[in-house]
Amino acid sequence: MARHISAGGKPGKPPPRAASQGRFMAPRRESGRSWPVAVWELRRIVRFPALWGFLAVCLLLNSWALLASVSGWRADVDYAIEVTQRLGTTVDDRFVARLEAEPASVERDELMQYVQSALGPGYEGWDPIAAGDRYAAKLNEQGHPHLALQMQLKARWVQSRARHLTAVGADDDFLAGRISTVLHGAAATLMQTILLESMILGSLIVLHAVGGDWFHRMTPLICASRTGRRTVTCRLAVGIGCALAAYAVLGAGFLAVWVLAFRIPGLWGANVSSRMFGVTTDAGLQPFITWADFSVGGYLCASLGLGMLFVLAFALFAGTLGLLLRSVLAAFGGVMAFGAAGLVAMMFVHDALAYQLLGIQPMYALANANLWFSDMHMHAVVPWQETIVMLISTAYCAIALVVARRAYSRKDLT
Amino acid sequence: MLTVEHVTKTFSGTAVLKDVNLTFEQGVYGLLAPNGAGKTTLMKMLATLLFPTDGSIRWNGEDIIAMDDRYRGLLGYLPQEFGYYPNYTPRQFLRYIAALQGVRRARADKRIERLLGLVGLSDAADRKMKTFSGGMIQRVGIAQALIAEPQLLILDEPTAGLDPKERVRFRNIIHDLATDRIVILSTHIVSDLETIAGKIIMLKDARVLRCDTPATICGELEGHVWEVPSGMPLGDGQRLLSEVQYGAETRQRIWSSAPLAAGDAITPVAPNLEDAFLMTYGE
Repeated sequence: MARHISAGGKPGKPPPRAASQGRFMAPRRESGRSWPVAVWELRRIVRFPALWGFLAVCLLLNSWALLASVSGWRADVDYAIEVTQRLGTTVDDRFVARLEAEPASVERDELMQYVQSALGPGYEGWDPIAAGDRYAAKLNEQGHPHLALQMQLKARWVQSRARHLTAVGADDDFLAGRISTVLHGAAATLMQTILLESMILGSLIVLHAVGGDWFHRMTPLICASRTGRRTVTCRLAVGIGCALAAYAVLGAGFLAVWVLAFRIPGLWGANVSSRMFGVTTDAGLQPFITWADFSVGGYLCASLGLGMLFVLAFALFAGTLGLLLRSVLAAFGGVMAFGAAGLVAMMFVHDALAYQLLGIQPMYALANANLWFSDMHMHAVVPWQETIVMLISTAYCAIALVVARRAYSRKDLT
Repeated sequence: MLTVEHVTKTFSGTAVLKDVNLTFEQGVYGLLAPNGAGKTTLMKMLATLLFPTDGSIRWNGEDIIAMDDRYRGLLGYLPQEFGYYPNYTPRQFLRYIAALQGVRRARADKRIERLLGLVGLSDAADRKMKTFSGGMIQRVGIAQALIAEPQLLILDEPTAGLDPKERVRFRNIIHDLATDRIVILSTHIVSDLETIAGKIIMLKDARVLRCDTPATICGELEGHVWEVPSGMPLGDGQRLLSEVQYGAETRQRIWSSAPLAAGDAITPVAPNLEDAFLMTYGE
């Protein structure tokens, strides 16, 4: 029955794979429907109990943290609601006059003082060119004349934006009165928290999807099946999708609590670049000048959108390490190390050029979450820098994953 | 027909298999060799988990790597260390494997019922596998290898953890299957191979030593295997193979190049595959 073949073997390395589409459905051997492999993979993730526990704890903690952080300002929030209902949402001369006529109270006096002092009457007294020159001087001191020139160029773009915002009356929106900065700070802090939670949870989801097979010793069975190593493509897609869905849940929870807690009339439609809100920088108190016109609602949604890129970048990176390393723990450690290194760089690097170069990674966005879509002062040299950095980071993480996936197709599974 | 053509496999510069040439047609082939001889490496290459460093493996003349899912679709594989999801029941697990194999759900469910009956797990079909014994897990492994009605079965240590009754059941299953497909199995339990394998492939020093029927292999030792009293000194041209127990008495099985004088204490015996294994691989 058996005989030895004496000749005829071809040398070598594995021949090119047959062209096979990256289908998520198991290839059909028989006519008729078969239960898609993707559904099985989704089910496996959804039945991961730690996922739901983590989400529930995060939602509860985030809601509590947000409400606790502004609980001390409840009286101001309530007064802001009253004021906007009676006086409107535009801080002009008429508003100021009517506020003066309001019954005397501590809240009225504090609001009057804030309205009259916050960045002055619109942006007219504010000089972005001077601020740009101060940043440029610091960059020249550090020996980066090219960055200094770029910073001065950016200052001219900021000036153009400031003129536009003045023309459309954006700087006169009431926002939340004197607690506008507090609310923005709370939102930015919560955004950073959600990003970190999603980064951790998203990475764990992707690693569970991709790396769990090594843990359960299922890899030989799966890779020897008809679907074979294409299963991992399906798992990556499902895992990354679930990571983004988890982030969406956390983001929706954040928005829901915010909407319920701060029903200040006109807040959601007010421009975030109002003079009621400023940012403290090396050049003193500066207005929050964004590169596009953003309402508060629009800004939050845009932030959540950028946050999704952040989560996607880490999910892609986790998938890459999940394919390259057999140990889920080692892969997770690698993801956390990448994040930690990036964050440390953003916190402790003082040289401007090094900061910009080391900032081409997702943690740049996290570290500057309170300044997204604005001129970002010394932390950015071009408009939309946080968005550009996130797009580049996502792109190189995606490329890394593609390379790892191709390597996996040709890898000996010992 | 499955052919292995001049296949060499090297890991970190060490050749685990060298210039292996084999042809498999319908029937049962047993891989017999000590640990580390390359059995699992060969099986993993047949299952496309490893890639040959040199040479190629072909199914009906076509390279199995190039065939991709067309080859894996006719393959049923039971790895040496069979993994599973502990919170799945056998029914769920087999449905998942069926999905991976592209078997339609309705057809898969019928096959699953039949296979669970075949391996004696019908009563435990809906119990979580984390509650199973090692033998029960192994039986699920055998069932999953058959879910797609493969034309090629590769079973690495399939009887590990099975009790004698289950091993008999397994042998019967393989006997029935081998009538119209290729079955390649490796095991350390030589007696399993003796009863079910049509051909035995022996590996030594990373090469195929021989590929013959059990009768041919054992026939070469005919007249050279004897049972002698325990403790009897061995002379030149004699080798101890094993010891056997008859009640309170222990006797030695030895190989002798020259015939011995048969008597009450010294008896010629029919050589078995274990004798051949020990002669080939013993020191």
